[in-house]
Amino acid sequence: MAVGAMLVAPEPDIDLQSPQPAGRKPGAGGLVHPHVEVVHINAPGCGGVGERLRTFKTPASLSKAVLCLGIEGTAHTIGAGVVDEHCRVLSNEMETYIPPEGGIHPREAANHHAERVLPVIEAAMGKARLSLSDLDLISFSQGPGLGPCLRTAATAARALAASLGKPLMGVNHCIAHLEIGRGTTPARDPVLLYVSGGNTQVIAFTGGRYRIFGETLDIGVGNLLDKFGRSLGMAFPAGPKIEKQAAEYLASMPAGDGYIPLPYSVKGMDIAFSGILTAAEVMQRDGVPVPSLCFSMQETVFAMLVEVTERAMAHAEKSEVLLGGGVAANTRLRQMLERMASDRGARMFVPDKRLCIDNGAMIAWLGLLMHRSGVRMPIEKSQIRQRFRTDEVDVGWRD
Amino acid sequence: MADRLGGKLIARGAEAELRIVDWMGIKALAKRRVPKPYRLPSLDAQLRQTRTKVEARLLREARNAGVPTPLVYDVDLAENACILTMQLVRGEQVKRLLNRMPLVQARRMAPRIGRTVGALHAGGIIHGDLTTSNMLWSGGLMYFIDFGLGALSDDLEARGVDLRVLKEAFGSTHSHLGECFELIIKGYCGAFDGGEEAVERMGEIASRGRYMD
Repeated sequence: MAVGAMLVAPEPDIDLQSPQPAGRKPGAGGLVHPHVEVVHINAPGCGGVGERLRTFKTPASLSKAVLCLGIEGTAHTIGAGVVDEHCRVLSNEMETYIPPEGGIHPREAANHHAERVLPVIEAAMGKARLSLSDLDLISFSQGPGLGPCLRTAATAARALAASLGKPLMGVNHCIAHLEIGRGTTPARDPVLLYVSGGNTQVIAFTGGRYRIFGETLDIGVGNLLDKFGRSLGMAFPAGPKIEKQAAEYLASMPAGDGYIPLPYSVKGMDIAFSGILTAAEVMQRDGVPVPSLCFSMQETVFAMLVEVTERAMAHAEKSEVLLGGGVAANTRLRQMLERMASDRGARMFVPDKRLCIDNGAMIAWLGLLMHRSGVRMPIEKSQIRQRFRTDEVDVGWRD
Repeated sequence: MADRLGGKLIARGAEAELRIVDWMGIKALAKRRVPKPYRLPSLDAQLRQTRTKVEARLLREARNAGVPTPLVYDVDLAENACILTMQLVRGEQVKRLLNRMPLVQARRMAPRIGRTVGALHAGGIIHGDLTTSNMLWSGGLMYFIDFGLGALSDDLEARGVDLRVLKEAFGSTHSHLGECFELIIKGYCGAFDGGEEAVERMGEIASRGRYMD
């Protein structure tokens, strides 16, 4: 059914007690939890999830699927995903705003999201083979992020929740990155290294909350890579292009490591990137070859990230590490983090790539966890929070 | 190197191994910054050497500033060993102490933390990793250790960052003792004339950070 039509003229609610899509067991068929390996839930061969949903009918009292639609819109990505109560991702659709030139402008990104949010939700419902009335909960990224983008996603979520008569839940985007890792990988109590364009944080659970053990004192690591890339004329996102240049440089340098020292700025468990950016830009103007700069930047910045993560693991006494955020796609960073973990007898986990980047499924999953733990959010209490801190959330769904 | 070090391994931190060794007939603590294979060998060697040297120097400078620290016996940088041999201070981590003692006692301990940090800053020393894991309580004295990320500096910004690291670390490690941080700051300002200015800068740095209301 068309989402647009739904917003205008909602269908009558389906009785929640009537037999619902059911019969799914944890780990059935292609639905084993993906970790490290990329497993696309809706990829061909995974067996149409939606079809199985409809095939089995069991009494509602025995098995009633709880389905949540999550809407993500903190920065340049608008996403929608559907997740069930076992953290099985039934769909996870997204579209990313790419500015014609320069960096992201919040207003323009929000305009993009406003145009694309309905098609993305429709795509998510279609992939999950569900209709909107099958949903039990609508959750959205309440913050932190860019105001106009947050408002767009929140407005869509509120409209949907109100028209369907379903509960609404605003969630913390950073915690969603951690919870989707716990939900889809074997990680139980990990330290999260969350690395994206806007965010760089080391988060772990202590004393009933998710706490930030370390974070950037200035810009996010993805932002650093994008800014540096832009000064080299690389299009957004620059990370993969820098990674490629660095790999090629390394391959061409069999003897010695060809590393050019850059400022290494670790302060306790916090880090700072702006000095590196300035230094690299100056070197580039002075004629230092781009590939060697790309290589040295990656080596420096990732070493800093892995170092503070290790310090947080030692400090918080944790033996698992989870990688999340768009920069998690970088092979060199994964390699370094994995090596650190195995050297200290710890385990490293990386969720599916589409669950690492900004996505709706993780928003849906955290919404479900919060709802299940008894949190309720009336619409009038669902204002967006641009500066929503990770450690403000009372975590009632973990021991 | 490990084999030339010998001794009994007593702890393995994020960046170093601690062993009890025999040094010229006395029991001593050897701290060896171990190579980190995840990072580039040249970067790794440079970081470990620099930090070992910085730590040795700041341990001495801190003593001069009146802050109890272990005496440094030896610095071994040959062949990238990065071993610091120092006085063995038997005490309890302030982190553990604060987490097990009643609030009344923690409130008495907090100003001492502040006073000690104040003495460091007054002596032109930045610690660089002010966490309660890096403070030892021994014989009624508060020892500071782990100066590897520190620096000699009178810079207001550096002091502000130092305090911010302490605040964040204290908040995440001792979430139940939130009110004690004010007592730390009180002790700090009492021991260091430039304290209020540095505290103000700490707030400014925090507000520059991401997502602070």
